[in-house]
Amino acid sequence: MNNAARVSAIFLFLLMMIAVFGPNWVRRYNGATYDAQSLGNGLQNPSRSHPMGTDMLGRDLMSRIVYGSRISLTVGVVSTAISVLIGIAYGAIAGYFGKKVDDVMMRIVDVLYCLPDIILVVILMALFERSMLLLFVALGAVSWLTMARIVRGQVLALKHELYVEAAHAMGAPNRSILLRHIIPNTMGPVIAYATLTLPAVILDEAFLSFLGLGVQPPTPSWGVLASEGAQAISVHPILLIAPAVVMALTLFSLNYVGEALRVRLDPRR
Amino acid sequence: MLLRVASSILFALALSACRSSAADERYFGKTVPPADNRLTYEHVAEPETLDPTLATLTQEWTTIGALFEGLVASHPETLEPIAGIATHYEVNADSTQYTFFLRGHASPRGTRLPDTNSLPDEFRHGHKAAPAIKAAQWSDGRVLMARDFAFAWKRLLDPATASPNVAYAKAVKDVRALDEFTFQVDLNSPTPFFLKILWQPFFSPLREDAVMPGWAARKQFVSNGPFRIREWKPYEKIVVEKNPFYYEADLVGLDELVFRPVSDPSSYVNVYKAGEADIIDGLNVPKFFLPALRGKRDFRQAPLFMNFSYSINVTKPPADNVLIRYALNMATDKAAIAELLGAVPSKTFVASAPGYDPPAAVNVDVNGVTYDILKYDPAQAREILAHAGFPDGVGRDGTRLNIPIGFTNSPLRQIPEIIQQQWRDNLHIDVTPIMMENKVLYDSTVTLQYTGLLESSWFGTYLDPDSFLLRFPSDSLYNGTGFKDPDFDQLLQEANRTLDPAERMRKLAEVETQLLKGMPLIPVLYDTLSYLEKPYVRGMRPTPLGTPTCFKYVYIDRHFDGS
Amino acid sequence: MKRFIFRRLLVMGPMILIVLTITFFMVNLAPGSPFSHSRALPPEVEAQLKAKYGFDQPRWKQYVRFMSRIVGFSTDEAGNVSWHPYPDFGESIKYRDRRVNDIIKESVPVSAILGLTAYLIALGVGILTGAFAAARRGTWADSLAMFGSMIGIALPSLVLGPLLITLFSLTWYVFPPGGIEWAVEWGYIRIPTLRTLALPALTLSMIFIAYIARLTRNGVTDSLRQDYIRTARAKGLSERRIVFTHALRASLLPIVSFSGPAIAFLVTGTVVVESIFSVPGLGRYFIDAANNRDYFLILGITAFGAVSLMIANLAVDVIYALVDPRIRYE
Repeated sequence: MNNAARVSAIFLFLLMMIAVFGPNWVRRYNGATYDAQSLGNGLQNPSRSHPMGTDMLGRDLMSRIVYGSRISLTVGVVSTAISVLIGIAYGAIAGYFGKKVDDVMMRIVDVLYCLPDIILVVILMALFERSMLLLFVALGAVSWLTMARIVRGQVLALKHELYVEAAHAMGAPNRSILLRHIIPNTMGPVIAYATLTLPAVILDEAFLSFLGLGVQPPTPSWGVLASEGAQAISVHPILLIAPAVVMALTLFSLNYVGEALRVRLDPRR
Repeated sequence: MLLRVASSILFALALSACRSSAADERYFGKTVPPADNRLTYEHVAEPETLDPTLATLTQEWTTIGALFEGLVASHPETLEPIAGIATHYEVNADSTQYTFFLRGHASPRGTRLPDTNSLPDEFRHGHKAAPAIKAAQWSDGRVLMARDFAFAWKRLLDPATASPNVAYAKAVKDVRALDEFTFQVDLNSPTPFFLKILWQPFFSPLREDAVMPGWAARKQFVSNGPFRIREWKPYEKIVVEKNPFYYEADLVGLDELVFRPVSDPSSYVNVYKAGEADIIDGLNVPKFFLPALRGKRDFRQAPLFMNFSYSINVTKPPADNVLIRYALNMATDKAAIAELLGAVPSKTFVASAPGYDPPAAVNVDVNGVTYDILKYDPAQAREILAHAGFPDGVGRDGTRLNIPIGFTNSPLRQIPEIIQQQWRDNLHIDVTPIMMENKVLYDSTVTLQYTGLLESSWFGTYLDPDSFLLRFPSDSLYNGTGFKDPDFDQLLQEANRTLDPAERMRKLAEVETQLLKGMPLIPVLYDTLSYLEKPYVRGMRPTPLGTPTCFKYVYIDRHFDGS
Repeated sequence: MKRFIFRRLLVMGPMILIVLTITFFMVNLAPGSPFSHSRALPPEVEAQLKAKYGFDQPRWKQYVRFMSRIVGFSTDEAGNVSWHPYPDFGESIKYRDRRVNDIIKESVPVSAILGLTAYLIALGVGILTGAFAAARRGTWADSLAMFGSMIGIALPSLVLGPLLITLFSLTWYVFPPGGIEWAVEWGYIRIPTLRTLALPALTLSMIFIAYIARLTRNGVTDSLRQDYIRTARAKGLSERRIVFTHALRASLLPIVSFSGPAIAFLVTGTVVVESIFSVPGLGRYFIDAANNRDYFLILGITAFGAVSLMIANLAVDVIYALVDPRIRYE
């Protein structure tokens, strides 16, 4: 693993620690939480009690960024996990059974690709009660298509491998061949691509927040913070710069690690 | 080599930065007047239609205001009715029939409407009013006649046109053109304030041969106002040019006027700052900018004739209990919210209208104690909440009271979070803010499917308390709360029949008191226009109605800085 | 090859119909109707409006009517049926009296020019950066170049746009903060001035620079390891010639494969950049249509996006076959 990837992995680990334990640390340090308003103290510059200043409603920006990291990472991880599960299942079945099944399933994928995902998400977010679970499902449901294609590609190549043919010859049922032999060997590209899906999902969430369709207030997320900050950029730039830097570092790191994994786990090598 | 290129670029940028920071600090942004006699006015959004009968949005009304003129116009400062296409009018004894004498009439009778000669010099800058005998013309030269008004108003009232504005014209029973330049209106019931509602665009005249399906979407169509349309590029600009056939064309100070829609909130302000627009309509300025704008000479805050409140669904629990509604209202610190957002706090519903005194307090008896339900008093609010069955916020079944608040992604979208905090601190109850899209919000309002609170921005379209109170009669479509009170209906009807203006205003205050006793909404604030206008623009006034009414008086003063 | 193309084109038709069917029912499921207004409409008015757009009919009838218009049939006021070889998406509900087809015709060139300009910038910068990084792989220059190219992934348009505006419009009045001026207007073909196109195209290109740089770098690195490169070096070719002429070829296919859907996506309009920079493209219409439940406009834009994507995919497959003789389609 190259240096950039190593540094990134460390950063991600630290970020995870912050996401899990951060809100408590911050609260113990200066008593601030992400939703404690103080209307007279809006838009303040960094100070001892507010290391990153306050937002428009007087809330401590650092708390909001820390808590927002937790939210954004959770959304990213869960949605990616959902998309990975669906993608693996779908792609494996299509690739394994081949021919007609593959043709039909991939045509369905082509059709789904053409659907405007923003519409689907808008409808989902509006139809059902707005909740975090719905956000996870909605984002996961529009991200599995490429994973399915990748897994299918892998499975198509793998199913002619010798050990698969051997398993066939021994009379193993399809399900166990898939689960025991094929899918584990697709893990390489799957993990690599999942690490690259994660930043895409985080960016999707930011986009939804830009449209007002993301998490519900007062819950912060990077998307919410970036949208709010982007508006105030000419009067109080730190509102945008602070969360943008954290988000940028995270996305950089995920990309470096994902790339390194992709190279490492490339089945051709 | 690369290093050298890079450093020279940086040097050049730094140099230009030094130059631009010499821009005038007294103003927000560049102050160089445009080279031509043209101004750019910035909107919040793209108009959907420019058909005066069908238009409902602010940006549509603003653009139509430059293109069309109705029977009466509005005084640029007081908004009182002044002469438009009509110069004189007569009204019968009980205010049920109005007769208007249009420009071109040989011998007009009745009350004379004030004309341009009575305006302050800033607006008429030396010009004289057009004589009443001179007929008004359309932008293609044809004479404007009473039958054009009759056609337009009949079209408005015709259900086949499906105009959303028809409910506003419900006062009108019948119209007719008595002769070429005399137009008569029969009203359903006495309406002494009828002149005040006539400035609205859907009362504009339309020519029968010029109106066919799709006419308003064409690049060219006839109109009768100070400007006529030159081009319309959607999402880009609408360009209108001076109408040479306008009856006071020599007064019109601009050759061209460009309307530009900018929907992104920060671009909205930045476009003005960079000098790409000369005037902002002020309806979408994010509240972040207010501290930076205050103190700049091109910034003005003007009150809007509107009320921002949260409608309460009084037909569904838990808010169906009026005591709970009183407690919620009294636990909301509107002054703090308004101050944060640069607006005016509102205790009552009707915005500030000339001659109207809103109720200062509404006293209600709860369990033997008298409370003023308009006051911000958390302790008293807790008492009332206890009487309602939720002592300390917890109900009989042990669960904490939870009020949902539905809202949209508007510049005021942070209010539910603030209220959430206030109610948590003051009443120990929970609040669930629910962000939803506009269409979903409107649907919920109309169908009364929601529980708890729903965001509601009510704009009065004419400067009279009736434009607010008409929301709540039992047969009104605009309610959105389920509030039904026959006493309220009756009081309102009586008040509107009163011919003496002062007495009528007093009665309307009683009507509002009756409304507030039912508390179907929680008034929060009267929003303000954050209005920006370059120092070389003259003759322009933002109005509380949100749409400027005086593009005809606007001109560019190139010697604004005393040069 | 010709048969392959023909078959794909043949399949496109039914696929579009399926996409439209799914979208039709999806938008119908969404709550909120296009006629909801902040002031409630009187019932007769709402009934009239619904009748005008056919919403008073049962849903299956609406669907049939819609589909028949898509395949080219239209019925005029008198009830006469005619056929035309293009789909008719009807009238927009939000933008009164304007036809969806016209809206699309007017705004697609704008989005397309913005998108293509952004993509050309991305190709230029991305390929150069990626090739440079691969040639110097493992050194500081490599890391720096790749880090720089990744700005587009780390900073989404909604952050980058306002940043660029603040720098280049408000602090230094170099570019306008939004809006488009036209250098050339010729019917539906409109070309923006460089001054107004610069910032939005730059913002939009960033994320593609990141992907293209990465694809290029990977492809060039892989091929630099091949034997034929060693041969070229032995022959005495300059490093620059080796990288750009020979090694780069290996990255071309993945870039082509990526470019197809990317260009289709760009042509259909990008919501964030068009909103921030006030570009009158298809993305603006789309987001407004979605928010306002303007069914016909949504369906029209969806169909356009689907067609673009399918054509782009077909083009990619054809180019693949032309470039790589090992690939054969039956």
